[in-house]
Amino acid sequence: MALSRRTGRSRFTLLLLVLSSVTILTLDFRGPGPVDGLRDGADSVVSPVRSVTDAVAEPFSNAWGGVTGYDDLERENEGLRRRVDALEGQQIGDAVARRQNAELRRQLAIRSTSDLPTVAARVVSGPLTSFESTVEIDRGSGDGVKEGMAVITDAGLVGRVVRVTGGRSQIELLTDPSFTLGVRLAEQGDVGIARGTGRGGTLEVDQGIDGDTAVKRGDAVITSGLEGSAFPPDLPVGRVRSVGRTADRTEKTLVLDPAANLSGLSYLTVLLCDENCS
Amino acid sequence: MIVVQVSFVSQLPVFGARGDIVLLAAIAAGFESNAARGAIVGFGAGLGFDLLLNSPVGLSALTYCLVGYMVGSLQGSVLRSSWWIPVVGAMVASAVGVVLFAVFDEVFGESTVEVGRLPTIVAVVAVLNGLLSPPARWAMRRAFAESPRSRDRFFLR
Repeated sequence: MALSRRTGRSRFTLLLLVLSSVTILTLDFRGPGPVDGLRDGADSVVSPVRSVTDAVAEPFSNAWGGVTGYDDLERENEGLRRRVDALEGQQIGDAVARRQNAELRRQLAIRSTSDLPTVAARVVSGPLTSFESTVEIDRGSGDGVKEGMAVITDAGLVGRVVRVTGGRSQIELLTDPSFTLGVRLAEQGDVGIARGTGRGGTLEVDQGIDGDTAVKRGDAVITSGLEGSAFPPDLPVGRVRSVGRTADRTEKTLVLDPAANLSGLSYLTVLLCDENCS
Repeated sequence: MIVVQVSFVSQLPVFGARGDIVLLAAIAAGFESNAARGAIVGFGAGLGFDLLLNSPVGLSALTYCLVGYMVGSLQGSVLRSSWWIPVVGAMVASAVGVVLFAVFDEVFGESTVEVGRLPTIVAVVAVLNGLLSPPARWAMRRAFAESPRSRDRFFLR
């Protein structure tokens, strides 16, 4: 009798907790509200503690990364040497084109990405779980960082700022399934919408690329920077890995490899422009 | 527990997967107490963890409270004469927790992990939680053993 009463109470407790979880999930899905307040509160409580514990953990984390990633580093180093050789040759041609481009932009009074104010940041934490596509940087609201700002490396777009506290910010990587942005095929000029897939570190363009446009593997994709976009135009997004077609076969779909290497991020640049960066 | 997770465990990936000792807290609570307490600890720890993540708030809370409840319900029927039975139990419960989280993640439209990577994540979380389960259960045992006394002290004041 007592056992069945205890079991009944346990089930009631579970039911209550499951309903609470579902309610919280629903509130979170509905957009800004009380859950955001809770998140901000948790951030402000945990951030100072984390600053201390992260400083203690950093040497261990670095040593662990050195031990577990040695083979990968060696392979990566070999590949990078080959790329440096190729890029050094290409750089000479690019320098001429860059100078001409800057001159033309000046004459036409077109703003370029390099005119935007930026802040450099160090990556202080990777994803917190195996299901996350985020990193944390050591710059926050005190440095002018705001939610929605674009984050880049020299190679291209990395993601956008999704949460900001006083001295830290969380960056959602562009491969996260909730990440969408306007893109343009650099050569062909078609404008489409890219989304993170969360799978295999890729993005997918599933709208906007005309079925007759000739697209091939390796073609460059950049940000479209259409009016009102949070991302400035012409930031490298990635390169085409494969080309497919939509179900009605009227448009092409593209799978992209990000231009920036998202697995070994150390330093990032935040573009201090949160709305209408085009 | 959450600070240890985000500052240490999350920063030490194994084969690209990260351990999850917040889930272990729910498992240890279920193992050392009962189903209701397992569910409550799982919910509380999961909710606290959710608030620091970019995933929907409530996802970990829902998963961990179900795992805590499951472990608490089954622990009475598991023979504990051998040291390895709770360790294997923690590993199995951790594997169930990760798969359950992946399913909820898919259901709520935020699927972030390709199916091919899931076995690695399950294995890493299960092995790590199996290894850490003795100290985690010891900590929970101490916490639950002290709670009635501290409650009495509170009421006697």
